[in-house]
Amino acid sequence: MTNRGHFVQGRTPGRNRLTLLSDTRRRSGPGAYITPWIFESLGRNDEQRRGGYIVITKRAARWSKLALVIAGVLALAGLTISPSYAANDTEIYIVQGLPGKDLDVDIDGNSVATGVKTAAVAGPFKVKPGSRMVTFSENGTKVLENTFSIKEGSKADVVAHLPASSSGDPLVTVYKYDDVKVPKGKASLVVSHVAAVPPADIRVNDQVLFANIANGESLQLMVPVATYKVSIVPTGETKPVFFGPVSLTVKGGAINRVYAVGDPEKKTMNVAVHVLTATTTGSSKPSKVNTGTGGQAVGDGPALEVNLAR
Amino acid sequence: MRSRFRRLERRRPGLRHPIVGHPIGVLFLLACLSACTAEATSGISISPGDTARGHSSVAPARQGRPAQSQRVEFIPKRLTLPGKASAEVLPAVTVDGVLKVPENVQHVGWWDGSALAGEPFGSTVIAGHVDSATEGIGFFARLLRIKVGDTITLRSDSHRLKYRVTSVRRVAKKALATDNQALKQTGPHRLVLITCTGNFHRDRGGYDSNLVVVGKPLGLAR
Repeated sequence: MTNRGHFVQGRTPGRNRLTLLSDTRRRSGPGAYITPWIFESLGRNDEQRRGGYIVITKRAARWSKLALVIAGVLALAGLTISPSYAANDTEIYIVQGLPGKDLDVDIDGNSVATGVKTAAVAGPFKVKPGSRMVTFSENGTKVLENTFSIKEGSKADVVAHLPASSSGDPLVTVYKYDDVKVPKGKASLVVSHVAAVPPADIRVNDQVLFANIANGESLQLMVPVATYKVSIVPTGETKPVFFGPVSLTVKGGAINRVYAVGDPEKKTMNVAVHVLTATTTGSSKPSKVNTGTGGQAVGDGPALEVNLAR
Repeated sequence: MRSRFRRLERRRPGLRHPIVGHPIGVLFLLACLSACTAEATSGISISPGDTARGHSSVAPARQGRPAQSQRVEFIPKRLTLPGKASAEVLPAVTVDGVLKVPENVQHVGWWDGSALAGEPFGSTVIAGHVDSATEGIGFFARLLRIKVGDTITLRSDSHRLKYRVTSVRRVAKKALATDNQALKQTGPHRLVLITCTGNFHRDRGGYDSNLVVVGKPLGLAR
């Protein structure tokens, strides 16, 4: 992928689907809708209680059948739209940080993605919690294979990338993360260094915002939604510029995970961007703050003196 | 949703049985279960039978970790003014455009849409009563005496950040929302304390102005 002065986002169908999945997850699953539906459909008039048992009348039975059929349809529709809505899904994403390769990815020997291009993000892939094995291969030849462990309900980005020294072997780094609550007008920005460069500073709008970050490390900050000018330089220096400056527009109410990948000496520096919709938090900006209804604090009256002395 | 469910259960305690006992109910539950099973083995999921095959001979991947310079950001829980007077800080939400500060005038409220203490951008907004008709003088009456250069400390259970007061201004209530410093979530990080001041209009139930105290952080939160 060429860098045209903007972050190039890998385009995979999985990542586009993510927004939908996350949006769905914030509501309750279909089960939460079904239960009261059934209960409410059995209205008071349709049930007769005898000796502690409930006898369903013919009419009630008809109603309950209808309710169950509708509920069933709703449930199936829900499953089709969001195959992984459950809040405690254990999911991984694949971040392809090796320049000039299209990689096939297996998890525990099962193919999950093929031809993943440099700087692309693939997923989500639902996995069982516990020890998993990831295999990256190119044209049938194994490039990388590693195990990683993942806890139930957690998420992780599994990154294939270059080491700090470009003469070393590629490796896999697993970045685990939990759901972070993000206000609508802000973005959780997580930058990770997985490039063939020494420890670096990430300069944002000409100031060091992420300092001294080494290969395999990451830093997180909450930032307002805006477009930022970003460049990567050696720790404590302003040049040589390893990457950038480029413009990065962060997405609000979301976790923006940015991976610096590639090798500046081979002119393959790039970024992989993984945006996950987060649980939003925080109320809107107030137009009024009313904090006085008594009038006792007017001037420097005795009431004020007495009370402040407490 | 759960409370509604419970309420229904309480009202009609026998309702659980007809669903489970009902033949169609059972069929429905079975259909649900089979749908779930089918979903678990489709496409991107990994079935349990395929786990841990040949794992022992494969090296573990490296763990990504936070860099040493990870910045501390925290929700303020306690605010200390000069003279060691301190107040509990509670989250405050905006309802119909009005920030709901704690009713207890000895507590102050952190607008939950504003910056965390230690964020690189935006204002951390904390508002509190100067007084109330029912409870008298409030904690933030102390802001009427605060001066430029004074130190204010925000704390959570494990973190703290000090701020130095850079300005104390009276802002007409109508102008607060558009004030360049007070509520904006862009620009350098700052602490903004808000209470009421100015002329008190008993007929309108309040003051005509806000007192806005701005402080800049002394270093990073820790």
